[in-house]
Amino acid sequence: MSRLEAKKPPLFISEPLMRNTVSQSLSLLSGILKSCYGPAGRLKHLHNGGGGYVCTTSQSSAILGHLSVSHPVLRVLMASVQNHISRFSDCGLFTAILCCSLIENFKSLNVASCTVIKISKHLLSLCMDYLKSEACGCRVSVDFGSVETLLCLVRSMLTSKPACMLNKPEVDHLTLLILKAFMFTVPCCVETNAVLGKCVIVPVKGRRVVDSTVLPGLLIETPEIQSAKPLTVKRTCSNMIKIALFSVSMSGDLFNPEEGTITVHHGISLEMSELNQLLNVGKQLVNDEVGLVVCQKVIHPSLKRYLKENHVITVDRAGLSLMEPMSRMTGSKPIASIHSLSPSCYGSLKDVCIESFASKHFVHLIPNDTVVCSLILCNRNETAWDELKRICETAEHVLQLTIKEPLALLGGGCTETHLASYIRHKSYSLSTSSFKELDCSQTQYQLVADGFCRSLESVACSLNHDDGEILTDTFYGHCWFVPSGFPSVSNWSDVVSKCGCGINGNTENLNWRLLQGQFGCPIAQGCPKEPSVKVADFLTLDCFAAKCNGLQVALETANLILDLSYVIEDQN
Amino acid sequence: MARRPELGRLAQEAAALAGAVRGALGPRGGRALLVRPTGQALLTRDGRCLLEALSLEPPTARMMAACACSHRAATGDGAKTFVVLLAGLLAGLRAAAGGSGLRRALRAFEARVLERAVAQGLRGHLLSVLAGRQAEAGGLEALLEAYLGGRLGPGERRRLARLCCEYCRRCDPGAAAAVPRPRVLRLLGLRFAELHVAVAGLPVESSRVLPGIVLRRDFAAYCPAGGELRAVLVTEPLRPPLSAPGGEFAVGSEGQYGASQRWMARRTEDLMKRLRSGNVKLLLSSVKQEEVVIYYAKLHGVSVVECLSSEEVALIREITGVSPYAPFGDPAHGEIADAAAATFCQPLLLGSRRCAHIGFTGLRAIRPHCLVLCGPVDGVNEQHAAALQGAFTMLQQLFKTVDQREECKGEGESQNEASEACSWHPSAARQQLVIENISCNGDRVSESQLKAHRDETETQIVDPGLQGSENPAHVQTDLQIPSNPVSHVKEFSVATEGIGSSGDVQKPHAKGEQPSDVHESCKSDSLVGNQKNYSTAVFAARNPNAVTACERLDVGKDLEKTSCNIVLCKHEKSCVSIAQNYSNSLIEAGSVLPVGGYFEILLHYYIRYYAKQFQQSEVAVISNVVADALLSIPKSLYRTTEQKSFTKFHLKAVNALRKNQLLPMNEKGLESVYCKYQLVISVLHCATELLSIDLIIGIKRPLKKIEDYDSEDDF
Repeated sequence: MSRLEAKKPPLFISEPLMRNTVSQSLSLLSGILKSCYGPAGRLKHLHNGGGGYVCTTSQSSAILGHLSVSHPVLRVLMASVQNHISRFSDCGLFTAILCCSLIENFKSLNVASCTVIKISKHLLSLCMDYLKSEACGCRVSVDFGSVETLLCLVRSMLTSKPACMLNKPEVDHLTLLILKAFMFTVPCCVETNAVLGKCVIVPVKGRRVVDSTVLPGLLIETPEIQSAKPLTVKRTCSNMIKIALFSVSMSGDLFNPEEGTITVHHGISLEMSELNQLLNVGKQLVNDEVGLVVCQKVIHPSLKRYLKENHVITVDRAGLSLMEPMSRMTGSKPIASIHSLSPSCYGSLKDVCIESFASKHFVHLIPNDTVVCSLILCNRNETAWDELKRICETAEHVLQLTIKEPLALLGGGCTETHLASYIRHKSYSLSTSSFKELDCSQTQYQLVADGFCRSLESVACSLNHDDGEILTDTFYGHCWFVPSGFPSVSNWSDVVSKCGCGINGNTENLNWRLLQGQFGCPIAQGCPKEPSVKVADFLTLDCFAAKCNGLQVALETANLILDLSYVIEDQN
Repeated sequence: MARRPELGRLAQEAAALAGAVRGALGPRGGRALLVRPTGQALLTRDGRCLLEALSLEPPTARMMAACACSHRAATGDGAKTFVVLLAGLLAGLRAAAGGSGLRRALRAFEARVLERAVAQGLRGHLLSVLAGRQAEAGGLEALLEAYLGGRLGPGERRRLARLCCEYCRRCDPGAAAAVPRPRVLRLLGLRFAELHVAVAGLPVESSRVLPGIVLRRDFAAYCPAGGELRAVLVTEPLRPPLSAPGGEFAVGSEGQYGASQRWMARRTEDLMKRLRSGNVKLLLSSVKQEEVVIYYAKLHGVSVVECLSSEEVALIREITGVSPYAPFGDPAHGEIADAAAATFCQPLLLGSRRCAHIGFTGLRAIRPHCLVLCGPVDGVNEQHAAALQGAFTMLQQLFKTVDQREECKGEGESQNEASEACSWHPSAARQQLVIENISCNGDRVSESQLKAHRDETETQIVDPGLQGSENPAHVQTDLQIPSNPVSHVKEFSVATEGIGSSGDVQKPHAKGEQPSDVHESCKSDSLVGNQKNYSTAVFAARNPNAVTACERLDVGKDLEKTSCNIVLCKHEKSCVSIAQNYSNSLIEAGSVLPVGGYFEILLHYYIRYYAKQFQQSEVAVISNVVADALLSIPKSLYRTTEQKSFTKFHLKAVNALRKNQLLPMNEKGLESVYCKYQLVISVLHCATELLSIDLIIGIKRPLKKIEDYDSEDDF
């Protein structure tokens, strides 16, 4: 080290939330995220000013991953949301927006932070108990016997990301593909410990979205194979193709990981010996009637030629990522030794053929039991494709979460407003003993509950990016959007047609009120009712597990940040 | 070179430190976000982390922080309280504006007022979690909730306390009291890093206890296996090497090379076959195995987990008792003797990471369980893990006692001074430490603990001197005892004799008291705290109760126990009469008080009460200063907004004390009195040490450490 700098004293900030810098950065972040939310969300263009990769997106995972914030308090918030995304993939924006508005709302209350934390924890437990109870009015159960609800779930996800640039037929096409791909990964025969298969996304850029397709089995890209020639594959007596999967290199190169030395006498070629061994393996493969040899690494050209002469197809350089699904799909065990081949390692395939997409050639391995499938995903340009890929992965993850817990929440802001009106109702009917247990007064509880409800409602409000009004009804507690351009009229039933999630129509007089800017909120509110008709097409649905976790994580993170009394920053 | 630090400056520094930690103190305190130079954020309320993050400049402030941290390391609690109390004490001393006699008076106060206040006043109010009502009725949860209240956020502490209780109960289902046995606590504290896994991105609510242990890496090979299985631990590559390190393998022909390659493959396969035939379905390896090994393991249905850390290997060895298997060491190629039994082994998805989850049955006292900690960010999980680890240390302190130390009535000021001269002899103190370590127990006593307790042991030396000069007859009797423990002590006295302090000061340390004498001393007022005496052989020899305590706590070495027992038989008759009386040690194991200032208010009251005898002496001044400083702790706990409620509570408590009534109890949490008492003692010693500094000398080079202390305490 050429120069030693004097050690700087650490920066000590007490009561960081009271500082202006934090509030400003928080509201900026909150503004950015709110403007991305929902199907009408505005896109963000991320670039580094130095050229190169540009990202157009409205997804939380992409934005939070690229955004760098200076303030440590915000870093905690972002880390928390990113951790949520890495577990659940979905509802990242919901979590982040809710967390920001919880902090803003709670901070403005004149209540000690530890009381706020205790009360909000209690409110959260009320919410979670309600969401998990049968009586919950904002969730629907997902029936895997019919595709309707599943299609709604996937479609809601696709439409909520405008950066994919999809039109309606494209959305419908992709919704079907994603669901089909997911169905492929569900094993046919269910044992006690069923494990879902895998959907491998194969990128094809520069084609139309409707060219996307899903195929059972795996695609391995092989530039050498010409599509013109049809494949002739050796089959066993039961009309199956025997496959041998090698994880060891078959290049014939010597490698010696040991520490000792090896002395080779003059005239002896170890490479020759290795190659002979490889050819022995080849002979055994041919004798065992193997029809296809796939190697993770490189196969020696002589061995390749030998196998080809004996009508065995060889595919090498398959790569590590394909080994696990390939082993799962074919039932073969990756062979790691060229010195002993056990016949129990071989797997079987139904068919092998050549597929071409755009200018790429693939060997298509078709299995008997399809737990692995390939989704060939096309989009016009690179950024739109990236966005689409992220949303496909999210959708697959959401479907996996849904199969574990077959429930979905109403989307379009309805869950948020419904929960808020449930909490308002509950907070008025709480017994005095609960206040004593929480060590707070009823007024304090009301204040915090109100702040909590307003935060939930502000998430619903951020779905609206135009200047139209947002309403909620006092009967179902759902969220209603008034198209922009309508003046504030007293009779709202003339201007609204359907609630945010699409489950309730404008059939009854539901007694609407404005969601934003109400200070004198209704005093005694009835418990919000469950919608009478549960099955409807074109509902907007959200993932139950992801949203529940998002709600919990948002509140815990907000509490964590409210609880901070110092920031000590080492400046060295 | 700076002049002797002024009391005013010390008080200012301590007040600044206290101001920095006060915001995080107690159940209403908030947490701190520490940002490291790497940008990594750490959430904490731990006093030690806070003090470290401040990177203090002034040497005396650094010393205060170091004292607080070493106290925290020893007892698992109280770094922030230490600083607050020290600040209160120094401010009080400055206000009292005493002369150079302060230091002496501090020592006299400790011996003559504090211990009397504890023995005669405080002791009557103590509850116990090891016996009586508190032992069953959620004593552990009350302790943990109060402890975690000082280091976690208000939304998490209850959940974590419940979780930790469940964890303790499941790890040690055989525990008699609410609190797990000390050896289980020690293992949990020592290996907590391996006994828990953290998952970020999930709510704290999702935290849970799992049976077995979780290794934080995926299986290299996984073969589903149902039912009971055996696991083998290896620490070397299983594929035989073609040429050993430093050796040479000469290839004479191509055939020879091929044959040796085939031989190696076959050898590996044979080994797997052998393992499988011994029902070994799991291979745990501390090194990375070659792909061939994994391949053969898969072929023969053996699951493999590789690259275990040395801590994980140590944990597995501790809970199962197996030693690593050397595959090529045994020529017989016989069966595998040293395999651990497990009920299951399966992959576990934690967050997005796949882990190996192994259900070891556990041979030793502990039934292994794993704690899955969930939180929105990693920083929260780290905070929770550190708090729980601290809780295990704190719980271990419950089993310690502070014992009465004999002192004769009517001892004068002159004796006190003599004792001071002696106790400041550093080498004498060190000798004592070494002996403690030898005779202590088979358990590991970290050096940090020894360091923290150095001051206590120093005072302990003083005591026998006084004893000896008064009762020479007893010295005679104990010299006749031909048992092992005494020989330790003899060595010690020989070693220290050369230093210059008079020989008879140390000698009587090896004493076998006559019952009448002990009896008398119990009546006598002067008491001296001697922690850890249950484990020192000398004490054990004298006091049968201490020996039983020693056995119950499972900490004694076998050898030591037997030697104690020999002595025990000899003294059996004479000791009977002591038994009842002497069992009342100063602070018994398992003593607790409700949280929220009870300890401080009680001690404040009794110090004032007993200080009345010392009218207008310096001891009386010090007593008042310490008593008032003690109240600064609950005052900080109640915060400014609730100052009124504290005054009310204080008045109520004092009125109840005056009328000899029970104190008003409105707190559910409990705290260990041992830790609290040690805190007061440590603060007094820190203050004494600060006041004894004569000159501060700045040097250019970093100080070389003479002793290799635990790195945890480095500052």
